[in-house]
Amino acid sequence: MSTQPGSPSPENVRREGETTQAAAGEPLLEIRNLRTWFPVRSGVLGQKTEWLKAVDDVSFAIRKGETFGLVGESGCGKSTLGRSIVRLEQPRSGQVLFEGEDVLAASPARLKALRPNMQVIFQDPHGSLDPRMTIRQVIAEGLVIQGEASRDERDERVEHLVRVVGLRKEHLDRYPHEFSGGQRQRIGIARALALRPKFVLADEAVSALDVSVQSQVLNLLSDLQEEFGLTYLFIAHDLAVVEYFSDRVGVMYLGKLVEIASAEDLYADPRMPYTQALLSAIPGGASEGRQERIILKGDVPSPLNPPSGCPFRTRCWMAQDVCAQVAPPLREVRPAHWAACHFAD
Amino acid sequence: MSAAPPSTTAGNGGAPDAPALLSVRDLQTHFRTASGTVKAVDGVSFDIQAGSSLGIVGESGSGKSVTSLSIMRLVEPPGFVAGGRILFKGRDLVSFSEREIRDLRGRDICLVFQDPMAALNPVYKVGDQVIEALQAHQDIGGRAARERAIELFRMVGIPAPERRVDDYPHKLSGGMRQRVTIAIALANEPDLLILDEPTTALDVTIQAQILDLVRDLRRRINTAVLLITHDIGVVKEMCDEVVVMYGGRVMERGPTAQVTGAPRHPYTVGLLASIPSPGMKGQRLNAIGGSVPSPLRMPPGCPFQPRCPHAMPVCATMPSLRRTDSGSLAACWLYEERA
Repeated sequence: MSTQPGSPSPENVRREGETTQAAAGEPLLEIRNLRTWFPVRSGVLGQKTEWLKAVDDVSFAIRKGETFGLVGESGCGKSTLGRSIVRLEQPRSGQVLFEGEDVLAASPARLKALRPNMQVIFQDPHGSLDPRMTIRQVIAEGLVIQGEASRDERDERVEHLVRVVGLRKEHLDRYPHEFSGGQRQRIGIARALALRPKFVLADEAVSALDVSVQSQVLNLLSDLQEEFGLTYLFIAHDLAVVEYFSDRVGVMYLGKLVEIASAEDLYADPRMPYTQALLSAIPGGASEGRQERIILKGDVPSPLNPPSGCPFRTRCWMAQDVCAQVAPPLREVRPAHWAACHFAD
Repeated sequence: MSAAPPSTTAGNGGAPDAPALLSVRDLQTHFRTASGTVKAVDGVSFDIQAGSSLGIVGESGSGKSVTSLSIMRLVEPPGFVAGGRILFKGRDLVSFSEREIRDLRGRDICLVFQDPMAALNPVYKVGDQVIEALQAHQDIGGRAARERAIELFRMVGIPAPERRVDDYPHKLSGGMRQRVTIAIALANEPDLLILDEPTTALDVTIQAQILDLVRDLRRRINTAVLLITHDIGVVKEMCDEVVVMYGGRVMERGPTAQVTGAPRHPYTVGLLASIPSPGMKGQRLNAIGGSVPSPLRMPPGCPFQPRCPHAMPVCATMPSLRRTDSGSLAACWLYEERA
């Protein structure tokens, strides 16, 4: 996309990180021009390769100690972006700087040393815990792999962690199937914290939980952030949860980051039409004084064949000729509020 | 929003003034399992008036979906309706023969599920599936049925319906598939449309489209809607009245504005406080402690009692629904004396 006129030059985009750096807090992570593309074979004999641009030229920074929320609809690339940052996916190009060091360029040995800093809490508390391992083994697994603690130290840390996440010591010798969904998510959190990470990717970490249990886990994540000084990348499709839980929020559409602002600014005054439509669709929002519902026409276009120019133009009620020709760069349209729209001012 | 709450909601299972379209009375749906009997639905009562909308809201295991399956007589063994009445236009569906209920399904009462891909047959064109629904209950020829299918597709907002009728389900997006299942459900202009988590699998902007469609269709064809959901925001938007379920029981029921604006049952209070709202940023959520008890180990009496901040010894006996000062009915001993 960078060959198109008007698309964000690296310099243009990198300002987001720099501005935030100057404004408030150092970045823990800087993501620069990240592209994660997946090859898709097509044609009669599968000889043609198309690219599914799941993450396409995304740049932003996550500050130390903040919760950066990431929203967007299914297929927008938010999970792939999160997984690319912790290198569970292999991006095609770009940089992920963790405290200034490029994670994507790290050697295998260096990556192993960096891994403990970056941990993940997954959505599915059922699928992400090995059913044959006791809770003690699940939580201690990372410590064993990293080989950084003696057995006694490991036991001590595991017993501390299980209390921190609100479970009891007696639970340690049981198996995952003996726990409820909420308890399993607590176990997943304890596992993520075992290596004392600085950064935690929470990928739909509360989405599978019932609301009454979801609120318990959100409270726990807040407590842990305070206690351990964690930085979160919080990915969720529930817009109200993201607003509540995040300091800043990024919005993705078809592999692009289309808006970034503080949670307050973004929800009060979204500048990109897609964000306006997305936020207006929160069910029950009208009774809470949100803006009037905008019903979008049609579906999200195929990411294999995204529209030229602005990815949202095919559904946008403000689209003009320029939107098909020039991809709008992510630019600062209000102080510390970035939007990728020609008409965001 | 309906005006004053109809007196049909007075008391627990009291006789309504005007006959309701659907009257569920003390419904019991149980499942026999190796470890004992699970009372998935345990004494549920509510009414739906013709043309009105009622939401059943609850978390997993609350019995909300089993309630809707019971109405359609779609509960499969080891589950069975163990007691109660389901009066549809005054006739008890529980006593219907298999043949009678099959005639009624798809004609008088239709059900739309969460997953449209599971509801559609992947090897038939979507238009043919609408035609099949039409011809099952109406004497209508092939060409006329196809015209009607196209008309239904247009009504549910499917673009280029003349072409889409010849598509197979996999060719359509999730939102379009759900529109197809709604078109099938509406084919015979039912009196009651049951929507069981109709938008849970959809993205929020597509959910908004589908809810908008259902609202619009209700205005145009005056179908009553029973909406089953875990999302109280959806109920606020869509339903005149709401039933809050927990552990197979009705905790609170009444006009949506009262129940969500001035909740009276401690569970409803806790549920609403668990949902992050714009004003709560930076504050802790008032989480309900604990988790839903296993259906095999439900406590005696009120199922919410082990998690309830107001639990009292008397809660070991299930209270009946009592009128509260908000106008809703709550099954809680806190309101027993005031009744």
